[in-house]
Amino acid sequence: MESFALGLEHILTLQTVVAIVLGTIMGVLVGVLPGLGSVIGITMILPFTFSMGQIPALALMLGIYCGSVYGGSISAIMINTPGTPQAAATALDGFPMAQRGEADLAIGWATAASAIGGLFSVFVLIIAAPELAAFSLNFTAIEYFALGVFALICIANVSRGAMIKGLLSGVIGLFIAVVGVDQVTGDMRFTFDNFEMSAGFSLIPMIVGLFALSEMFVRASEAHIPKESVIFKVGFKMPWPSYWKGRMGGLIKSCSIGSFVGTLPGTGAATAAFISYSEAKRSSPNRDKLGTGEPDGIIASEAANNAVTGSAMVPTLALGIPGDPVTAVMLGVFVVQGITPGPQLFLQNLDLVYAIFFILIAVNITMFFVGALGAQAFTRILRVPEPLLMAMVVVISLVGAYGVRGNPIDLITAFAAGVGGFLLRKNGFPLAPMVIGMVLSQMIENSLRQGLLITRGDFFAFFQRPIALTLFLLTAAILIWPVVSQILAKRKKHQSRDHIETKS
Amino acid sequence: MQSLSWTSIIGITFVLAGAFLFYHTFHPDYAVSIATAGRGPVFFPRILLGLMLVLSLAVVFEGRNEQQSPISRKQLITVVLTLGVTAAYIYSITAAGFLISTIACTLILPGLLGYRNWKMVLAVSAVYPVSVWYLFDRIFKIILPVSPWFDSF
Repeated sequence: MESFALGLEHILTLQTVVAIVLGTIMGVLVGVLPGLGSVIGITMILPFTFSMGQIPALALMLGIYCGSVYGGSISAIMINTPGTPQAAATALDGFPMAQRGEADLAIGWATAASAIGGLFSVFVLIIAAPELAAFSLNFTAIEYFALGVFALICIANVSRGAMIKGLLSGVIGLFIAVVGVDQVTGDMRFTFDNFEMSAGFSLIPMIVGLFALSEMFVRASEAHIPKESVIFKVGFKMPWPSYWKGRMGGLIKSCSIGSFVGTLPGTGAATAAFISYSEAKRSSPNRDKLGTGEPDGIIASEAANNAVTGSAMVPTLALGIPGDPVTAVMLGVFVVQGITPGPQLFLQNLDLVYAIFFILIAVNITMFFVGALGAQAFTRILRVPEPLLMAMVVVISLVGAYGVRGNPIDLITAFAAGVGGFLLRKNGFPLAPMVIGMVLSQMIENSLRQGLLITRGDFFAFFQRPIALTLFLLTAAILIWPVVSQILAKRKKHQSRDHIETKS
Repeated sequence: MQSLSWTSIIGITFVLAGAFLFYHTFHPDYAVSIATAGRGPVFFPRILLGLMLVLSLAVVFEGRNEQQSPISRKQLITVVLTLGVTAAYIYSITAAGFLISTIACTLILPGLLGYRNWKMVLAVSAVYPVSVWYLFDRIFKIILPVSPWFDSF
């Protein structure tokens, strides 16, 4: 109780409150601009944290982290260019909603879902951090492979209606990610002795090309086709309580998925967002409308990706193991501030742990208000005439692509992805599976090969591990169930028809 | 004879690419299996390329029944010009510097996409590139390519 009160006292200082607000605003801005992202945001403020007190420094850092994960959704909704890879799934429904004049509502959904997801994961962190940390230690390479295969269901789920094309798109995405250095042996793969290719294809330029540039080329191809004018509603529209009816189950599921995935080192918010989106595509009452501007898609993606922010602190604080590159940089800040993450932190500095919990709660609430107030400015972008907006989007997107590594090859990558994406889109190939493939590829390959090393080449030994077996069975069940239920429905239909004929 | 649909052409392209890349995985450079229990650097890519070949063939067959939607000459010219301008912009970012090439791009691209309010275009071309350059280059310290003719931008 004493630590609880002390933790609360730590954050109720002017410096900490200012740090929370400033950090969140900066985080949202960093997230909105494509190509920056959470890592760059935290790296930019890193030098400033050296001269700050412990708690304000943590508050600034956590504000940027949570804000940037949410901020990516704004540009995903407004201009179909996810500001961060975590928001790629949000673009699938957010942008179509904005296109039909409901940008204010789309931002409302994204903001609410992000805040709820973030708060949910904080409560998971508070209740179960040490237990979750212990559970995450049971995940070896084999379990990660099983999780990756489970996540690949996303590809099948988002490809309904164009299954073969979607699967091909997904495989292409998986393959694109293997170009470059092999992480296990260090060999170059498919670089054809080209030095610039040695680092492979960066994810951000690919996403920029596939989403933003291809969208511009598609608009160019339709420039002469008369279109119905859409009245874009400016501002922020909070979904009414009645809108949430029938969506609460999906929301809690998405928060749970994000919270679970966040505790596993090496996964990240993008993986959580796509797993959650895939689950929504499978089980949402409005699943047939997903991909056309259905709020369930935004809720699934945003709740899950923001639910990672709190639970990613679980391995970081409890074990000292960073969950993703962002928490790896944050771990550096912890160490500089004299905090040693690990089991001892919960015994010796419980007040600090509580302070972090309260900071995360405050950041998520602040993020909601920043989003709501900032939406006025953000949504006005859509009132800019389309040709001007497209030119501006091309510029900001290419700056984002270039800014990742400062390498001109990323501009060429973005352009090639844009041209490829344009041709694929015009011929009915979904692009989301390609992004999913690129996000999951490294995790799946590395864990498969490491798993085979552990089992000395015996793949069937993978099924002897309970967690992995559970995930494999779940994957098979989700894939097979639609086919089985169709067969059962047909059989039932035949039986009732026979029954009617017999009666007559 | 029925002409090939774009879907089939895309499928054929990936069949050829997949076949070439699969053949490439047998290059002696990849024969590094000793330390990796036989699962060398091309173990996973071969699985993917095999899947790519099968799926690409399926797409080729699927595309046989697809109707080609016609594209007008005007649309085609607009798309080709837009691609060309974007490619030229990307090339000129490193050749002429970010700021100069972006000003040129924001002058040309809206006109190509059908926008005729030249006062607005001029205003946006004056303000927007400078704002983006300043924000990224001077505030975020993401050094953007400079022009060969001026020191500061």
